[in-house]
Amino acid sequence: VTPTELNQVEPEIVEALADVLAKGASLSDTLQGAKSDAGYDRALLSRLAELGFFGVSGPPSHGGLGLPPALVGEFCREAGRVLLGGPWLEQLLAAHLLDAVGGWQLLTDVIGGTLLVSLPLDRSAWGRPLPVHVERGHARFVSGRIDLGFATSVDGWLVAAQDVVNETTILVQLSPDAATCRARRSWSEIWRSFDVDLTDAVGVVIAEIPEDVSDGLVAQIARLLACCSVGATEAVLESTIEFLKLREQFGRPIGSFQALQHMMANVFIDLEHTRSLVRASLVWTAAVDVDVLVAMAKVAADRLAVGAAESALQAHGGVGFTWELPVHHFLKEALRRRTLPQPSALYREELSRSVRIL
Amino acid sequence: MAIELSAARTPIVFEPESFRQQLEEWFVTALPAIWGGSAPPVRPTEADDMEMRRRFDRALYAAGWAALSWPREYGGLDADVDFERILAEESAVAGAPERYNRVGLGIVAPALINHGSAAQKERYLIPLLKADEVWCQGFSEPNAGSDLASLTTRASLVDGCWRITGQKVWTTLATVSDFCFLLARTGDPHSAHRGITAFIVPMNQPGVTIRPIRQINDSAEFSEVFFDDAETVQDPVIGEVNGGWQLAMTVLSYERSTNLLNRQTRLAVALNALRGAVAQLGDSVPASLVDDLVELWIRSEALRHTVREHLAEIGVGRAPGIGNNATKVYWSETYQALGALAVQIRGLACEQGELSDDEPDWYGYYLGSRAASIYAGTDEVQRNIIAERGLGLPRYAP
Repeated sequence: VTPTELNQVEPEIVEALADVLAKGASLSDTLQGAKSDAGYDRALLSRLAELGFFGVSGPPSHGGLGLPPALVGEFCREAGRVLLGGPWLEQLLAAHLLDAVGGWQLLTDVIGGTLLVSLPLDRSAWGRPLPVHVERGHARFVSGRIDLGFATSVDGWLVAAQDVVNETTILVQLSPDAATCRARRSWSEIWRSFDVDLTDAVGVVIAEIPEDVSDGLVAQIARLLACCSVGATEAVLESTIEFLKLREQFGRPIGSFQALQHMMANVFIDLEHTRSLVRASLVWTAAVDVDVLVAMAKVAADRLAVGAAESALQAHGGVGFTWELPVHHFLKEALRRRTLPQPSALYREELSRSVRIL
Repeated sequence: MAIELSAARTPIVFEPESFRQQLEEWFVTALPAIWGGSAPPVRPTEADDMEMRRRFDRALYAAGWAALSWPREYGGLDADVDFERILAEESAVAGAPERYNRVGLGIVAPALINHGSAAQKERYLIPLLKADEVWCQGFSEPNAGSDLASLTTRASLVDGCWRITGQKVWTTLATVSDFCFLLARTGDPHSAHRGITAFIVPMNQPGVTIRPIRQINDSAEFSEVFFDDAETVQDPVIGEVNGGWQLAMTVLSYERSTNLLNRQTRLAVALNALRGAVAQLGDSVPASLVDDLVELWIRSEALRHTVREHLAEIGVGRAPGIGNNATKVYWSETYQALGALAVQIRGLACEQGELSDDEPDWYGYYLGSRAASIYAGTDEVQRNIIAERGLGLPRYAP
């Protein structure tokens, strides 16, 4: 799929989803859901599943829509606009992973939304899987901890592990009572993170994970988070523009002052170009320099989202510094995304090595 | 989309990828003749560069590729804009010079094709494509820069003929031009953008005086041009009398997108030259400068994908929007930062004449880059346009 073709297929589907997200999900819904026991609105994720959200590029034989994978990113951009809460990104990634390793039975349940799963979003969990002993289709973890979002309010976990005998990497499914979970303190009001101690935990072996699949999953985490950052920036820019039109000082709307106009123009300029780069990273997934493209997209999107939220906060003045306004959520979520699947600075370091090689 | 080459030459159907291959093959034989040697000249003089550019325009015309996306009746191939992108990319990679008649191609031709009379198209387009007639653009004036609509160069009807009096400045290619595409006031002095008309004015006449301006990079590509009761050509008005402003704005926005394609590909080539130098120098380059280079690499790639998306938009018939203004700013900032970084990394090598053959004179490159945020609408004006017309923020009313 070329970007041009993507432009042609995408509008109606993305519009349909945008419509659902606009009508069925808003930032206030997200914040409302975050206050519930589960930490998110499970009914909303079920509705999204019915619409095919988790099976956009999945095989039709398992309930997927079979559309170009790049469209998943467009959906994440929409989700980023409302800072959609809950383990929806994990669910999307689970569908991607199960499709790649052939975990067919689970795939149908994940796409259909009848099984909500969480999985680790940090690179080390996939690059350096925890050791397990495998016996009759079951895996017992020797030791180790992982970070899991919404660990206690999902139906299962998908974790990479390494068989200590033959050293292959395998995908293990665990139930949420398989291990002790300790809630982490977080500035985010939307995201719930748990420190999970997997020592002696037992799960079911799903399939072997080839190395290129775990690398591909980590790249996909980066791409989709970058898409969220683009969407969040669009939303924060739009709401700030509306504020600047209404708020008056010196007898005129403050949006007529050039200092603020240029601040917003700068956010727009950065947004336009970062969006193209992020889209390119979704489309050119088989390019020889795919790692470089993903790193660039992630670095650019992280800087965009953090910078745009900071500008929005400044443009709002004093009220932007209050908990009441949503600007701080955009800033905090941007900071959180920046650390995953690995800190942006590490991507930058990888690029520093690549830039010297022509 | 497959297209067929025009009738005069052997008709062959070709597609983007086969076009790329044809270009590669064509460059092998065409480029030595354009360069005047087996390799591109290392840091050519301005005069040599101009001569190479003229040869390139003519060679492209002879090959049938001078105007890929133009309508057939005016010498084009009616091809998708994607072919223009491939030409720009391959040209940059092969070391071909920039186009010579770039003002003519970028601004005058679209104005003539979209707004000119049949006679004007017939008379001017082919000589323009062949670079037999060179064009410059007379927009800016000493007191009408960012505030272009306040221009005062006057056009008056004398015995049924339009005559021009006034001064233009920053006129690129004026010294070698045959014609000027000129904006002049035809309404009353306070008519602002409503009283401006686009004219064709011959440059070789007693009423026109050209004074090259020496720029900070020691180039004299720009000139100031004085019109003293200068004659216009027969049938000199493009579009409607007093309709010049809208015409100029429309044409400029298209020009910005095609021009940005060339600017982006050239920027990518320069960036690669600096990457090559940094690779050679190894660990002696401070890490902080390598970090800066990474930033510019990311921006250069973002620019590439953005320009590509803009072209795809134009390709499906959508007008270039406010994104173009954003890209102009993004490009100029990247270009300037690249020049500044290159001087930091390669300044000494520049002074000691130790640059490799594919590196530009980085001082000249840097100095030249400082104009990029000023010409074609300053970056400040672009931001005003983005804020007010793009984002819908209220206009400032003192």
